[in-house]
Amino acid sequence: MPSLTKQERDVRKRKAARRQTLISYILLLPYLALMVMFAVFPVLYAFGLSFFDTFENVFWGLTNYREALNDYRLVPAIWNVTQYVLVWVSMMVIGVTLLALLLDTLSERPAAIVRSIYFMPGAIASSAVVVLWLFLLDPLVSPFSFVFEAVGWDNRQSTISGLGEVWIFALMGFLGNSGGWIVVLGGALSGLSRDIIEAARIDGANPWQMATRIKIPMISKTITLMAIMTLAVGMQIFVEPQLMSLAGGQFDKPDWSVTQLAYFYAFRFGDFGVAAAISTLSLVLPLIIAFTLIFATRFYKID
Amino acid sequence: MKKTLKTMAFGCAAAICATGAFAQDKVKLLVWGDPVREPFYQAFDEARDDIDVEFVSVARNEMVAKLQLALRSGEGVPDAIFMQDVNFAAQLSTRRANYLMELSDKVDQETVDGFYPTSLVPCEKANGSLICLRNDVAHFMLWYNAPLMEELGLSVPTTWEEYEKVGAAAAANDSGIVSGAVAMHIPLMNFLYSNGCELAVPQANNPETLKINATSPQCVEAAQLVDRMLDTGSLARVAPFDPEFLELAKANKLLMIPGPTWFGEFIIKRRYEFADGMTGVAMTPKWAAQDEPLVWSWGGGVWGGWKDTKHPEAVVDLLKFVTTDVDVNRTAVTMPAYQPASVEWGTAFDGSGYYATDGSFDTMVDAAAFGHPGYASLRLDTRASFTKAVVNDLASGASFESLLPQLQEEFVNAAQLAGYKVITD
Repeated sequence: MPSLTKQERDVRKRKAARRQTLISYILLLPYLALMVMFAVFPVLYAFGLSFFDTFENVFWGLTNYREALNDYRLVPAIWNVTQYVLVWVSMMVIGVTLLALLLDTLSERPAAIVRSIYFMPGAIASSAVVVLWLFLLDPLVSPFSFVFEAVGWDNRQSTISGLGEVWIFALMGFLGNSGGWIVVLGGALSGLSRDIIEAARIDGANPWQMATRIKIPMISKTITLMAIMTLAVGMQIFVEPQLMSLAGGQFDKPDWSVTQLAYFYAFRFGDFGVAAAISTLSLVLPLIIAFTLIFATRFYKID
Repeated sequence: MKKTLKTMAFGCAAAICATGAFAQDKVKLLVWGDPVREPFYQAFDEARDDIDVEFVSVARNEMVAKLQLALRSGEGVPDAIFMQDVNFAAQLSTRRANYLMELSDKVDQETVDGFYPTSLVPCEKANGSLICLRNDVAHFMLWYNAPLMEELGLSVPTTWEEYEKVGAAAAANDSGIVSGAVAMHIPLMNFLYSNGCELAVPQANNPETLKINATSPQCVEAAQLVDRMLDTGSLARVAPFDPEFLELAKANKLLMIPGPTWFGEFIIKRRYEFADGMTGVAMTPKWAAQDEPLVWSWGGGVWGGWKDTKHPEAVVDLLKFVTTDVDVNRTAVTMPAYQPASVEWGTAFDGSGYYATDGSFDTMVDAAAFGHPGYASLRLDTRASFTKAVVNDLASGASFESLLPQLQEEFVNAAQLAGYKVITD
């Protein structure tokens, strides 16, 4: 009898589990539907398109890929994006973690106020951020003109070439995106068990030790998540270089990033096949990096 | 922005609207352009009771992309467009983006001959066919500050060599007086092309072949002149529209500047804020070794129609109207490319009393005769390539001459990418 009851109990448990799985899938459904419509389908469509001559719908094999890889602008664009991603992701990981930890040492109310202030630039669309920055970078109107003058940059041209596109775009990206992540990391920090923090404090941990030995290891997954997300966004950099021409024709950067090359093929040459090939290629790399990070940090492992 | 230019009610009343069917019979044309060109379309709409024009404003940098999308989806393709960049004509008549209507058999020879010499070159395709009509001519002139020229006791240069001397004399003793701003693509190109330097110039017998030789003696000579003028401080290492240059111009520190026909109205009057009677217009200089000047251009839009439009006749009528109609072009913002239409425009230009020189318009007409035959429509973006290879480095202090090899490399690459055959000598 006891064994039978155990079986019965198992069956019931499995049924309950199955029901729960079903419910979670139903709850996920709207998201999945949107993801299929606006992420999975376009990716598959582009993947298919990349093997065709889109003008006459003839199967071309790897012709589009060959054309994309032979483009003389591709290697410089990859180099630009690589530098940008390195600078920007490090800026985000270090800067945001630091600011979030500093905020965590404040008491609740001032921290909330400062956090909201940090969040504000994130509310500006990235295209508007570019325009804003063009003013910030112009020594004639910039509030930071004293900094530029100190290093001898007296016009917009010299500031832009002095800072370099990589740093300018990274700064733009940091200003626009850090606020949201500071809030996320703040949330992760405030979710830490107060017992552990108290225990560490009683054991004599100073704020530095508290941050490096206790807090950072405990929010490392959130930091990894941030790194993966900023990496994915960073590799698609488009708006910032594309809008540089607003500062004047001489700052135009139509082939600075890989995404811009895809755009160029689609909308300048009308060659959607090569555009699709570049898009497919530029999806593969972030996927590899993201998976590596996920497995290396055992991201989904539940402690 | 979308709007029908004329209310149906008005059209109906004017044409003694007998039946409801009449309004239905009206030919409807969807047209794209920039806001400046809306009155042109509007005038056509008003001139023709049988045609209704629906105007959509499209920004310059979105024109080609939006048209590619419309062509691909097959919906909302405009019947006619105004192209703000002459290169759009080439970019919209390729195998993949085959938009533009062939006009050679639809526009009579007399009309074609009425356009300024070489002004239709951007509209000509390989087999001598015509794919667009030029809106305005935008060849270079030499604009100068007449009172300042007199005050300094200098005379207006007629050769580039004199231009250098006059510029140096004005800039002497740290006067801060400049004679141009060159950290920008077209102002730099102007020096090269005017000396016969060939940078992506289509070959007369084969427009699919471009000659690119940025290190030829003509190019080097022009680049060296720019470098010497940068050294003496007579050319500014900024762009003509940069805030610091505007400050110089407003402070009476700008002696002269090579600029296209629209420079007077749009830059000198509005941005440099020269007072009435201050601006002189002179023929663009020639090089000492040349018999006559070779005049490069900056801009000049073109009009084109859709080859698959349902109303080809109405579209051709529209294209002819907007380019050749005297009344419409009298108030055009830029110098009309159709000679008869430009005359009245010129009368207004001279009559405005803004310009210091007598017969300013005639000088612009004279200069049009020396238009560079290589100012064509290309599938590659020469401005972007030039900017990338030269402008940033030059603005940061490099000499123009030292940048010619990388200019050569970038142009050859860009031309080949766009499918051109490239020759270098």
